[in-house]
Amino acid sequence: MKLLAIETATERCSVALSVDGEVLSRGQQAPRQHAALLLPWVKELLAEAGIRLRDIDALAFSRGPGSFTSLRIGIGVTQGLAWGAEIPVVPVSSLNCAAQVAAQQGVTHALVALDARMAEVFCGRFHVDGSGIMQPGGEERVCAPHIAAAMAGPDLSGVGNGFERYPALQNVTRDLASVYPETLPDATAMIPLALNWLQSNSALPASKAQPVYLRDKVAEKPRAPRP
Amino acid sequence: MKVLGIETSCDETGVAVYDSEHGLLAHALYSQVELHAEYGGVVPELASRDHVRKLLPLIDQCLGESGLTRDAIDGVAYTAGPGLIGALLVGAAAGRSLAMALDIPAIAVHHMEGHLLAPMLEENPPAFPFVALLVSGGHTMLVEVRELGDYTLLGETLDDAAGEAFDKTAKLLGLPYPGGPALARLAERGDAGRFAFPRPMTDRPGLEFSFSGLKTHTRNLWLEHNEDQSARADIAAGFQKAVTETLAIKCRRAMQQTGSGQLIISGGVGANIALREKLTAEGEKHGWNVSYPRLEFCTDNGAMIAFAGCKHLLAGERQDLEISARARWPLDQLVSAPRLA
Ligand SMILES: Nc1ncnc2c1ncn2[C@@H]1O[C@H](COP(=O)(O)OP(=O)(O)OP(=O)(O)O)[C@@H](O)[C@H]1O
Ligand SMILES: [Mg+2]
Repeated sequence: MKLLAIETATERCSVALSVDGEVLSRGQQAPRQHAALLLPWVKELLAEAGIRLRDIDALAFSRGPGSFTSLRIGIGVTQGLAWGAEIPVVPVSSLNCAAQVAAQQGVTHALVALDARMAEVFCGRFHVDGSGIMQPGGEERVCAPHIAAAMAGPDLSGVGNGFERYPALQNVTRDLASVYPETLPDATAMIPLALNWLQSNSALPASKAQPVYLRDKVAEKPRAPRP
Repeated sequence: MKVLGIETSCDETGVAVYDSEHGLLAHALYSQVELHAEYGGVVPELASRDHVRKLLPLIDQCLGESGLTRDAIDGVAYTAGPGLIGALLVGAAAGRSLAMALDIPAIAVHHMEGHLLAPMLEENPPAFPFVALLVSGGHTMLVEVRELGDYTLLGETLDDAAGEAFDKTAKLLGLPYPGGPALARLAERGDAGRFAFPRPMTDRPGLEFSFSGLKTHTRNLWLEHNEDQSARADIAAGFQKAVTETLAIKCRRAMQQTGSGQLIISGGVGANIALREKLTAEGEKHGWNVSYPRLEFCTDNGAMIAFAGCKHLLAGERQDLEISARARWPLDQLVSAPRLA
């Protein structure tokens, strides 16, 4: 199985290539650099693995939630690569992905909160299953930090930059098992999630590479014109 | 060479396939006008969201219409600016990646160069060199075009673009969004001679434009006469005549200054019938040839991007793997765009 994964939901940008279980990757903090980094990285990884894009079985993409613009850069790249090379795609949640990164650090129950700006966080709860895969434990949502903070509990670990950027979430550190404020979604963690997804779903056509924004009210309609 | 063109700089998703041997093979456009109408203007985030949904279906549609398989495409051209950065990035990311996947070259196209070359998609295309009047929603400029990539800005607007002036004036007169075409329709019924309008910046030498004063003039007239139903069409007609005559005066100067015998008009306002009639008459009077794109290629479209991209690809230019998009990109800086020879 050959999987390529692209993660662009936050200021971290990353790409991973898994060839029969062996994972190659690139990743770094890259505010506003996603567009410059992605394709050269994909090219490098393919060259290192000695395969062509067309040999890939599926392309896992970060479907969000996250920063709208960087998310769409990753999805545009996914659409182009998948359409051009005729590879199907697999959606992976950025929150689930952050939880999976934390799982690699030993976390078993995660409350993920990623900064959504405008004084809100994208948040969700995840629990590790018997095979080490983080599974969603409820709906993902965009909400005020104090609402996410109310979900804290002693068996949960706090994951994501929401825990360092908002006082309401910093204040519940004591109520959590542990906190990983620097943990962000990363493409390497998408590989197990995508493989898990493929066990019960079939991969999708390129045009189904679409973001999940969670925040849908992005503009005010003007009030009725004055008479 | 068969080039796939992608345009996502503003509120239209445009895709086309242009073949250097057989001309335009297919083009498809999805306009977001209705989406933004409720907001009274383009909402950038909504525009980006729509491009992500529509782009691949339009590419599939174009390929189907042209009867090509994806492997028959020889190059990909995408609009890299100027425009809304989020919207541009959608087309740039998909277009650049698609070229990499197909192992074919890609080229980043300047949106205004697309408009500039659009008349060359028509039968009996104008030949270089020529003078171009670009009149769109965001730009008003006169450009001397010597050859592909050799563009000198002769003059541009100091404030509102011509299309913007049409849209803002239409809004003042209570016409629905987008106002330009609606104002032009209303003007057909009006008496352009009833109200006097200035011809801005024509009383001094130079090729600069200014349209914001016309808008203010219109507002004052409308405040004075808004009880009078026929005044609305008369004001619209007077405004349209002032804009078209001002543009015509500056075109005449540009033609004299450059000694050119070929004028081309492009951009959304180039769809305005009164402007076309006025400039065609000027051309006959002064012995210049005047060319326009077909009406649907005056506004944003993928065909002009595929065409401009094809010309640059044939000239051997290539875009590296960096996905480039620029919200601002002066036309005369075209050559300094990040490109690999
Ligand atoms: N018949 C017409 N008469 C006058 N104006 C018109 C007509 N048809 C379209 N327009 C104007 O053309 C403009 C749209 O043109 P176009 O799509 O080329 O601009 P844009 O792409 O928004 O701007 P730019 O290309 O500068 O970024 C609008 O301002 C619209 O009102
Ligand atoms: Mg345009």
